[in-house]
Amino acid sequence: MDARFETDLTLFLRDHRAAALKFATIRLHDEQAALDVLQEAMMGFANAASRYEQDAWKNLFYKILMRRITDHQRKQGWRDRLVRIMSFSQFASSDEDADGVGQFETVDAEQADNVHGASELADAFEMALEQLPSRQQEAYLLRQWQGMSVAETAAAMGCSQGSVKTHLSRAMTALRDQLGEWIDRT
Amino acid sequence: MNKMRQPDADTPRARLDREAEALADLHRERLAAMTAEAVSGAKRPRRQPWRGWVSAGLAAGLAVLAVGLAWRAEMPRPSKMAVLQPVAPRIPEWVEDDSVPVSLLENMELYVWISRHAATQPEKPPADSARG
Repeated sequence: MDARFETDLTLFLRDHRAAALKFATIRLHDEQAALDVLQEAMMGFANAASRYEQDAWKNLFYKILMRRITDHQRKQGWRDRLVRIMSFSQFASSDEDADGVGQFETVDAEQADNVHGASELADAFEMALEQLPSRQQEAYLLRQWQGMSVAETAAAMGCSQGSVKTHLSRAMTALRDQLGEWIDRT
Repeated sequence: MNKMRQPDADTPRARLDREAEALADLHRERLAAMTAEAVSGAKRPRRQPWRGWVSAGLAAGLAVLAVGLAWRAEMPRPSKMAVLQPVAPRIPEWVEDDSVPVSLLENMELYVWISRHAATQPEKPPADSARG
């Protein structure tokens, strides 16, 4: 029983970690933060998984991941506010914060470097996705990319199915405006 | 940027999949370590050994109850008549009466008659027995 559970859990995480990391990176615009959040989500999921049927694991995993992303954003928001208020304090000049700023700069630099190598569409797609409001991002990524049903997406996002449809419709409209009919390809 | 050209047969989903794989390749080692750590720290499905014992105990209890009920159902039930206490015949007043002749009291037929007619309690013994 234990060995089988462990195998199932390992296979599940192995199958979903890449997509989950991309999901978190799009939501947070920061790979390192996305990795940290994903690690917390994996551990939370692994602790809760035994109480759920395996069919429900994907939904549970993304639900936990999105909760961790929201927690991270809230903490980050408070931290940013503190930094702004105490601009003269150690918070503003700490190494940790400097690292954070550095990461953003590094990512931006990497993105700038990759502009020439990557296709125009890929960049446009990524940019358009990142510009979407968070709920629209979630609805698009879960429904269109991860192929969850409206009900599953609603359960993962903690909202009604009607809200999912609204968020998705707005996301598709915004993406279509920037990327044309390509976004409708399946 | 509006209405961009369609460069290839790529789909948004396939593109996201490829980007996700590329990103995972960059962090392959960390992702593997994260997976191993999560799995090793996972709460295992709880074993509940008491459940087996409780089930077995309940089954045994039910079996004992069933056997007991069956045994009780097969036992011969005492009839209502047997349960009733025998009614002690009341000794008629005339027996105590000195005026009744001893010969009558010694007559066995009198007692047969009393046992047959205990409930009726006649005031007087039958006339022919008194004479006999």
